[in-house]
Amino acid sequence: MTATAPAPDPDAPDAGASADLVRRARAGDHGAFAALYRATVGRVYALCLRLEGDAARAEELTQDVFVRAWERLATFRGDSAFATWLHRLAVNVVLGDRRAAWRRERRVRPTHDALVLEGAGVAPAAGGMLDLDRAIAALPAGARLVFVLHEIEGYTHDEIAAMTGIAEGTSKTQLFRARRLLREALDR
Amino acid sequence: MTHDDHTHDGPADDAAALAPLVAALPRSLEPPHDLWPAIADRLGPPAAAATTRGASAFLARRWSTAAALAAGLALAALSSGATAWLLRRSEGAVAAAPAGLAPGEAAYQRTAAELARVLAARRGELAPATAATLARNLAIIDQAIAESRAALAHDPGNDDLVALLYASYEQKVALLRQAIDLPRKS
Amino acid sequence: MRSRPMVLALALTCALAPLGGPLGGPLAAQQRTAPRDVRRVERRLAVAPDVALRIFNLAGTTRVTGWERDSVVVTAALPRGAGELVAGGTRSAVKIGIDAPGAPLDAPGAALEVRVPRGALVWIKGAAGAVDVEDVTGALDVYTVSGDVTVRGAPAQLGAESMSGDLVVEATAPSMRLKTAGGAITLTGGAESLTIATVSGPVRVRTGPLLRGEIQSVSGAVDVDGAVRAGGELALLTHAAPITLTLPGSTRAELELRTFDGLLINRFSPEPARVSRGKPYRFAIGGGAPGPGADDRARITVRTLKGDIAIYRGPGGS
Repeated sequence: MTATAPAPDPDAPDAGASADLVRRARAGDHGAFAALYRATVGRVYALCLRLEGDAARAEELTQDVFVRAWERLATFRGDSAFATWLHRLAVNVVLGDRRAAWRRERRVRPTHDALVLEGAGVAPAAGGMLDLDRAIAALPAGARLVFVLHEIEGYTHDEIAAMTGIAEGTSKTQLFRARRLLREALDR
Repeated sequence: MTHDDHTHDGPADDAAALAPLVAALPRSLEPPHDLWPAIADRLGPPAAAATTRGASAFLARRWSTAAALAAGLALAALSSGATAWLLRRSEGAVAAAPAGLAPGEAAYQRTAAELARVLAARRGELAPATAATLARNLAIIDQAIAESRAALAHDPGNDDLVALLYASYEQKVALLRQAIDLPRKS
Repeated sequence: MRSRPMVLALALTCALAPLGGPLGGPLAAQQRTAPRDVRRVERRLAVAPDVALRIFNLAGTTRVTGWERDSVVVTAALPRGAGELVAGGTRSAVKIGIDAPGAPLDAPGAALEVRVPRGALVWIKGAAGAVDVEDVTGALDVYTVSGDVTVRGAPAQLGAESMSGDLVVEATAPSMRLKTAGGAITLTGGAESLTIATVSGPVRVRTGPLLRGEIQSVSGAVDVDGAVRAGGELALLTHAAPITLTLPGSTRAELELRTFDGLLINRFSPEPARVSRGKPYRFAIGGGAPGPGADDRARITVRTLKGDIAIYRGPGGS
């Protein structure tokens, strides 16, 4: 079962421009980093919101991602696009936050903020697109994690296993479960 | 659940049904607020090895929110008694902390102490009833923290006890933040 | 022939009659002078059906009611010294409130009543006065310090927070977040995703099936009577307060209960619990054995350091 490849990201900065911005940001140029932020925050926030299911927490995590990126800029070797590197870092930040939350107590988040989706310039489209985001937010945490990473963000099961520490078989099971739950939710 | 559970409507059907909907999902969503000012507040020089989840980063994030509210919503100073009490209790909690803290506990204590200082230092006034409610509930939480720590001392590494301890710390941090954000004279 | 005082009283009464109220004697006439000190101000605004509204009233009461019109009507009853009504904005974003700069702590509060489009996104900030919201189906966020909060209806999302005011919610919403320090929280309704946190306030929840629920208290008793959906999660946690959980008889779930210094009472399952102090008590209800593969069971965890835990079987199902 292959994942649907995600659409090309219209928000990703072109390679040449971002390499220059990264170089300047590394040198301490906040303005350059701000430009990188503007170009990539939409992808990062979408990831955080879909993984967390809570708009307020997603905003906090998005901030954490960019702060961590600023601190780790020296480790970005340029062997991938900056947006790709940032995206992987964002996944690690969200997963790290989940592990911390699990250690304290299993943390349950409210479903996504209707205000956010409707205010985010998302035009209601045919096919119940907003319904799908709501249904994703209502999935159990493990199923939502795998569904978002696999189906929306395009990671393979072995990549998900490596990032999250779950077994590859568990990742596949969670994906099947997520799809079934989503179909049930959308067919209601 | 395994894919063997699906007989007449298998996982392939689920995937096929969802694929167009997933493809239509936007990959990028603008956050409802401009996060850059808060991020910029937290950036240090690129060479700094600051942790993102330490107390100072936490406080910076909270402060930028509180600072925005502070314009025109400055907290009035607490009465000297309540101020001293809050400050003493929170700093005391840090000073009395024995070695052998649970992982992350030190960060909670620093954050709580810093927030208590912010609360005490904001020169304005809270209504006496509000200050009393705040003090009473902080005392309840501090007692819970002490009892959880004592239980953990007898059963170190017990995940449930750690979870209970962290829950109390989070209640304390949340309550202090809530108090900092209270409107003036309320 | 009428006496002079009576004539004066009658004259005063007649003079005040246009202000409303029954005719009466001198005492009633004095009471009718009180409304003179309260100004009633009204504003009307044409707005979008999903207008974002920010409402603030720090000294008085606030009542918000949803209606079917694409307009906002705000009425303020302003006692002397209570400040002025501010209301303005655009069709999509409106700010309404009572502005009283420099008002002393004991300044009188204004009573604010606002009619809003049902689908409005509403954010309310109060302090000591009560806040009542009814029939809003957009997102709703309410903050008070000590004022009680009452919400009725079916908001798309509900957040309510108070330091010491009570929260009374008779509503259903996909997502609810309810928080107090010392106030009581009472929820009757339903949520798919529910987060409740209090320090010392008691919590009482009567809810339809939850998909995700987390209820946390330090010393306030927690009493939950509700269902958890297949695959759902419910976590109850207190430090020292008792936890009572009533589940429908048809529930299929894996439960883990743990109290370190309290009693553990299982009245759901017929077999008595034999639990060592401080050890987790795990059991499954609804048939089948706990363990991996039971993926559609609900997962319920209940933890307390010193509180008692009691699980009951409610009506519904086997």
